[in-house]
Amino acid sequence: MRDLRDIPSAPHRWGRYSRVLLAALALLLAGGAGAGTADAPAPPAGAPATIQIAFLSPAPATPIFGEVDLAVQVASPEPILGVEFFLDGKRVGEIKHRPFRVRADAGQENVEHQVQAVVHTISGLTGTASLTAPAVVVNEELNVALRQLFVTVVGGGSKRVLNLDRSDFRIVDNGVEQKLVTFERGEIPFNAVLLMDTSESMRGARLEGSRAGARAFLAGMKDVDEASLLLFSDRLLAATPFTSDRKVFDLPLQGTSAEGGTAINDHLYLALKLLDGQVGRGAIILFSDGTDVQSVMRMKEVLWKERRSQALIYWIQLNEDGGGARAKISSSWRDYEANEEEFSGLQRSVIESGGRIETIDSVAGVEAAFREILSELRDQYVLGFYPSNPHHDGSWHQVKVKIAKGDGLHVRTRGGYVDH
Amino acid sequence: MTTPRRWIARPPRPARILLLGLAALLGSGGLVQGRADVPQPPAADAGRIDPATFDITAIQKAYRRILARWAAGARSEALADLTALESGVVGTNGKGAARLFKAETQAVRELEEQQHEALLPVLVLHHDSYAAYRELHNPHLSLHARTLAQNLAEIYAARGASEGARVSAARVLTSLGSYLQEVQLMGFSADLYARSLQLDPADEVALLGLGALFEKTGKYDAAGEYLTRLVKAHPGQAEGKLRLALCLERSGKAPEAKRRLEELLSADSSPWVLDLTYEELAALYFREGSYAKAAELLKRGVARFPRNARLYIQLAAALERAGEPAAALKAADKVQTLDLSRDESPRYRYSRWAPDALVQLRAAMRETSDARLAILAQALASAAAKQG
Repeated sequence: MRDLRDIPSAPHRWGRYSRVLLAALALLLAGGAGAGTADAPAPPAGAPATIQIAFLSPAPATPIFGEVDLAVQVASPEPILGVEFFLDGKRVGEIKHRPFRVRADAGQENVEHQVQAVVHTISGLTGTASLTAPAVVVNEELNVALRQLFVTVVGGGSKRVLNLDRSDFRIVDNGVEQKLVTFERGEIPFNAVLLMDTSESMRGARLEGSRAGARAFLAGMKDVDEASLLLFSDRLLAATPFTSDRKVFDLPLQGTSAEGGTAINDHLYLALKLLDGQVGRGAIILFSDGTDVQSVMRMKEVLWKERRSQALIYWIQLNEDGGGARAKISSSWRDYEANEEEFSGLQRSVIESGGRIETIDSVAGVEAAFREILSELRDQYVLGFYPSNPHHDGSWHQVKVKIAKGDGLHVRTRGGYVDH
Repeated sequence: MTTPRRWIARPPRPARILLLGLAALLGSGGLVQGRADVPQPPAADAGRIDPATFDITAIQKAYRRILARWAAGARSEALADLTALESGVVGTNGKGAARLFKAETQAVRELEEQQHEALLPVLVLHHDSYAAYRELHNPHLSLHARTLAQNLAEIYAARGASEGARVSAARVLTSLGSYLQEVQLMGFSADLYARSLQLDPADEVALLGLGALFEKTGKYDAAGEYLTRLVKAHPGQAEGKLRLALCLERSGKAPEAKRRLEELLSADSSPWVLDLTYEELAALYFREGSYAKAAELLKRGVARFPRNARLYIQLAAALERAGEPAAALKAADKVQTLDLSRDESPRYRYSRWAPDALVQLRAAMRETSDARLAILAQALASAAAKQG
């Protein structure tokens, strides 16, 4: 858009710039831009009746961090004396001539900011416009290149550590240290998909155990958390929408029997995709023995999706053989080698996502495993950063989170992301 | 052509077969776990015949009565009586199996001397008793029934010396092979199919069965050979065409696989085969990077099979790769509102061996056998008269 610095007060010039003004008005009406108001006498013919102000920066509904430009376009019925800028109520500068632009420091906290511009004219008229820059919603990356990392820190005795501050963390992206711009800790709402294998191999006590585990997880959720339940075998058997209403889960949990084969890949992709539609932190809790012989999708196709998602994947793997060597299988859909590839691909997806594999050797441990994952989701840090080295070429960026003076602390988070 | 000859066991004596059968049960090659035919108590009504009183003559007398009922068309009664007789003689430990085998074989030989064609209904009776014993999970009895049916089929084919006799014998062997394939006894199953094909080189189920067995063990070239033979001999064999296309793709022949799947899409196939054709062809397009093409195909697929969630999941994946994330999310969300099918999925059916052609084969086997029941009755009468 063309700058309005040359808009004169002479009425005959208004027609030439009417398009620009209309565009500014459209921006005002589009929401997010500040609405200007002024208490002014009747303007000369052809001039705007009031002072009209449109924010050029920051863009509407965009979170701001660090040093930012605050800039406005102004159309006025009379000459302008100056424009004052305020950030969160604090005056950060006054500009007397076009362009009306000032640089201010919004700080590094992930909080909402109020921006205000006040226009003064030669006759004492004033016009004001305000704009709200929202905080980043956890897991949201719409319109911004913010990357978020859900971080679990474990200390001695596998006890989770939740008393670290933002200054304790360092983020390294492909070897380059990044600036931490958002920081949250503990009790962050989440959307979970409970992905439950109800194939033939889960018959009997295993199915009962998985139901008990799912119920324990759902019962422990807070009202701000939401879950979707997907029950699958070689096909999808039941699916609920995301909800915090526990009653929704009763019928599918009770009414499903264990039958058929196992198709993890197809349903893991579905879970990842469904989380795309949710705002907030996403987690998938898969309960299965992990032997997929029926999926049409290959794990590398799921991995593609996983790398573009920010969801954590937890896999509760029931291994009642006590950790013995896993039997290799061949099926009508895949031979031994391909099935092994799928299995290791699943392990990789889980680890890369920042989740973990919880292997339990008895069905008696299922409920505790679900509870432990729920507890872990409560005890996480969320770190956000804008990658300083983006290429937008689909390449894989390896990310590491380090803790200053973090001797004895173990950090688990997503292993990286696709730069797209 | 790869043959499953290495799987063929030596000609059976019951004890050896029992051992082989148990060995196969215990170590079925690391494949998908089969149902274990563990010894179970005999059927409740088996007690009405006291095995302690039975010598071979008594067994044969009871056996002939059963054959007479079978010849009269009293199928279920004859089968129930046979189960009771054999359960009583064999017992739970299998010790009477050799005695039973000898008694029944002798009785059948007498009938065969009277009327060769009388053999067919008898071997179908033992075929049916094998199917019943599988349900009872009694390995001694099922082994006995299968061995007897198999031996009688060989005799019937050899003495009949006609193409019809060979085809009929092949059907029985193939049907037995299919029962074994269902429980993953793949070596025994392959032996029977291979023998069937010697008797009837165009046996549809045997060709399909061998193709499916080799496919399941990852030997796609060998599977492809049998399946190519199958679709040449039976051009309407949609399942065979699907399996062949998938084996070709896994052997690195994706263009030919794609062509065959595209042809199959417009062929007259069973719904489950058609459903799988949509899934697999879309997956093939997806893997070659033709995401928009995959999405278009899947849109047709969900219109044809609106309760199949998998097609929507594939559609979501294809749309996402095609650069339509919002449409992809819509397709995924749709899954949560579907009236999901409670039926067995086509993918599961594909892997568990239940071909449409097997139903037809068994119907043909029974029809041919029924046409010879009167001959069996005559043979029984002649044998009885001869014995005075």
